[in-house]
Amino acid sequence: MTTAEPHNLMCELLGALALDAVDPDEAALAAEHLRICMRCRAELDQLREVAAAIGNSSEPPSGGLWGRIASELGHQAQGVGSSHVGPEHPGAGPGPFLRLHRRPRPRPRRLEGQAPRRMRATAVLGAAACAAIAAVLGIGWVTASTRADQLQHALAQRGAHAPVAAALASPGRRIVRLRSADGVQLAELVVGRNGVGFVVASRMPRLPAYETYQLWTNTGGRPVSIGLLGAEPSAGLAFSLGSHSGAAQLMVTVEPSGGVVMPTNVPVAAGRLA
Amino acid sequence: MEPLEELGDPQLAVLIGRFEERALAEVYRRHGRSVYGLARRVLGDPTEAEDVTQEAFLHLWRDPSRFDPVRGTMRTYLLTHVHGRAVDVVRSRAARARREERDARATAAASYDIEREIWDMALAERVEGALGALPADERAAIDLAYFGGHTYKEVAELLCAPEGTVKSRIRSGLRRMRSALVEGGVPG
Repeated sequence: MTTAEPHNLMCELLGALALDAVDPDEAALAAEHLRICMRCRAELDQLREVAAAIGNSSEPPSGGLWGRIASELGHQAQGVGSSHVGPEHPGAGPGPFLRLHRRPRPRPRRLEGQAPRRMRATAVLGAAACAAIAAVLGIGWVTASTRADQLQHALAQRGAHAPVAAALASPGRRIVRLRSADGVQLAELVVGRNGVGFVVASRMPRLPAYETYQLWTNTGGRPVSIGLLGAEPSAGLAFSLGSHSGAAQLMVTVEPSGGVVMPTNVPVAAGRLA
Repeated sequence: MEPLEELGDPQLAVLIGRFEERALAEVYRRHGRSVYGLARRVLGDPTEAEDVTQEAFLHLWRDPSRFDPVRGTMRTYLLTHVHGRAVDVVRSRAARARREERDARATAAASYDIEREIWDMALAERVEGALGALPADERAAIDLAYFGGHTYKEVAELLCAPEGTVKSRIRSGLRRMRSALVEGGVPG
């Protein structure tokens, strides 16, 4: 198989890829395709979530395992950035997350014992829901930050994601889920009644520096530019519909980095505001 | 700073990027049992399972930027990694002969996250239900590939089916499961 072969051949392989059930040669070829195909990457991510759910069987390791791991941390940190163990999974290369400049490692500290957190079963579901919400917001500001000092600042400021949270909680707000032609959700946006919107979550892959995502709506059958989302849209990114606050549909195209007056490519994702 | 227990996994990954051992310990507390559980199921041998579990957490420690929360959860990231390593072990060391199911340990040897444990039990029930609802040929293909560590070509031989058919069964089975889990309220 080569990367030039039809896209649907690669699609058929995605399930086996998600289960690590392909030969190394096929995995390498798939990795090439996944680097350029956002639809396959998005589907592979989804199938891996399913695989992880299937494999999520809890069993306690021996009590000494954490001690073994902790004892290796000082040694392992010395090789940061210089080595990886084994080949990465197809499409699991460095993501847009956490491009940190790691500081020299401070003196190793021995981990203190972690006391188990005891919770009543009745509180579990509520806590899980809260954790899910916190995770979404956590993903948002982390992805939006690209430097360690920004991250540290954000950690100290729990309200860093307040505009998005406020928009989500505002009356009359509308949500749009941008999906690819085959139905894969690539981003979720919220638009307030005042027409100001935010990216709530995005899994649109990073574009090369010479390209940008551009947001559009449709007025009178003609596309109207809302603005540029950059090469790597992330949660918290703001935009304004301006005089088009009543827009019913939004779409995204990939364009040259400066943007264009009229779309030059077909939308990679679109959705209706509801 | 708020307690580590209150932080989301992406935030813990940021702290791991700052060499906070406590953050890695918290990730281990949350997900260590699942990571080991999958490794044990694939490998059978508890020593090998602990080795690949250890390697998975050290991998996260070395390079937390590999975890991209936009593409999936921390648990999925760790399980994907440990499954890949476990399959490598199965294939490269011909460990299949040594694999056999053994009784799970009855008691927890270390502190763990009771909240997640209960959540996992509820999730496992739904996953089991979704898996059980699949056509038998799809379920068999997924089971042999994922837990047996077989490639789809090997699965095709085992099931006496064309390779293309097995590929399709695996994909359609996973997609069907995803739909069932999403409909059942499990984030997809």
